[in-house]
Amino acid sequence: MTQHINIFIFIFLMLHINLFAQENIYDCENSKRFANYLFNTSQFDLAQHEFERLDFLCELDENTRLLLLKTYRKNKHYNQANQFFQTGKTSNLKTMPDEYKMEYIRLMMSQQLYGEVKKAISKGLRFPEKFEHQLGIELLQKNWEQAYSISTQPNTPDGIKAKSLINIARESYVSNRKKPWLAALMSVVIPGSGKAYSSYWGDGFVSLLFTASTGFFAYRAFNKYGTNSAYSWIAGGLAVSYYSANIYGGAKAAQRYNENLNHRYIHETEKILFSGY
Amino acid sequence: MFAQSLVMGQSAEDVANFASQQFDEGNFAIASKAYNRALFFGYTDKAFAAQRIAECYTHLEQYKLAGDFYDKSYRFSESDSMKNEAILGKTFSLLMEEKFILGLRELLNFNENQNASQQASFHFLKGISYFGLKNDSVSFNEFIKIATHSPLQNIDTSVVKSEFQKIFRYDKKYNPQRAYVMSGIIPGSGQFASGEFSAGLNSMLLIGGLYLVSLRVMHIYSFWDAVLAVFPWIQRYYLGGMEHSKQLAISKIDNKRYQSYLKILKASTPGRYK
Repeated sequence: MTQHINIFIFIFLMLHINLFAQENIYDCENSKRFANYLFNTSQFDLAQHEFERLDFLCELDENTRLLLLKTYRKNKHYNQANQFFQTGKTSNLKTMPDEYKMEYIRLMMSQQLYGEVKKAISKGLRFPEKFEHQLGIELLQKNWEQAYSISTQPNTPDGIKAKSLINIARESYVSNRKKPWLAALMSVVIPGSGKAYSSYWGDGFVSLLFTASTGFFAYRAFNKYGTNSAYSWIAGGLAVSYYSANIYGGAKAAQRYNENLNHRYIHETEKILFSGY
Repeated sequence: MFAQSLVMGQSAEDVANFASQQFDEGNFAIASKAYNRALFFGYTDKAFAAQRIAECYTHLEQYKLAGDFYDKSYRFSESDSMKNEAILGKTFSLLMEEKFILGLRELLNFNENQNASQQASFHFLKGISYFGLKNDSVSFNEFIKIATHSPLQNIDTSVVKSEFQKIFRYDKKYNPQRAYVMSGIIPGSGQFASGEFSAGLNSMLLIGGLYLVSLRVMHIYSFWDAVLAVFPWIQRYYLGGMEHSKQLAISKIDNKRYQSYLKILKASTPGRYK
């Protein structure tokens, strides 16, 4: 009997040792490796779950915490990432490692909270690509003059990103924007010329044709029927409304031209600034 | 203690089994994570795990990730059959993103000496790609081949043929260029030809009315008065009407093609895509 018990204990222990010898794929170290793999393969939804599980079960190291924050940003779960930076323990950004500072900046930029980034910069926060972000924000906020003055500062960084943004800042500053008041004034003198000035030549020509046609029609009506006829006044009213609408249209055309131009610069800035996010 | 040991000692194979169970129950998010874990921790059948992850992402409508994992599955696969499955899956993901040329490029790697089901899928996806690229005659041949290569698929070829016959006629029936010219000759007639009667009548009355106004102006004032005062209006609505009739014909063709496409899909979709 004792011999049987000894054999049973031996088998049980062997089995137990064998099972223990197998790798535990759910332990902290393996879970961390797995979460990193999920992040690196762009499976951000799954990565977030795994990082959060890890956060609950184990003590997260700096790198893993950073990846969790990046995952929140990638999944657009901004509130969770914001909470981290708003807690008392971590509110002092200056004492954080560079990668954390950079992540904070990226997080704010992704939410278009440019004011927060400016505030951090004005408080003296130093982080990689500070110049690029300073310049990029001015461009994104259409502060062309400010962007140009930043781009002409001495000792600008040499990186491709910085150089590309500097080029945009200079180009956007010198580019010829249309003046809506001038377009309106031109339309007062020659109908359609405001649109032509704003590079909408076809629209300008059609406007000229229509305003001239309604004006001519009104002139002939007054000439033939005089001021006592309703017909003359209807034709005259039509001519005046076309003429005045064309003045407004000229100013709007200039605004549209400028918006398209600005949009192009903003789009280029976003492409450059957000590359590598 | 024994139970704890069992949990502690869970292997990649155990995780894969759990993933398969979740997959069968339709819990694709859980299944994809478990398959990923199995794949990462050394599950032996890597091709199968990668393919299952891709299928999970297809079900979750995350086609970019699905495509990435079909690529992985292709790389891990050793058999032509598994490679073909990966190609078909990747192509499907691309087509769901309307990337028809990339889909056709993917299908170039397909090994055609495989089973009937895969061949049917191959021709089905090829047919969709060509249809998306508006190459209707090649698309028709591919849809017909589904039935030829796999008689067991229960494909209704009569519907496919009749709908494609209609598709071949749409371009002629609702020819946009003809509608444009017709509206130039008789305003509104191009819209009538596309079956858009209210738009045609509207255009006809508007331009007809402007002609009457110009006649009236000519009668009261002079020919040049009519030209100066009414011509810009006629020119605008006349040319606008012509362009409108052309656009109507194009959208009519697109709409009719889409209706036929739905019927073709209903009649020819292989079982795995239903």
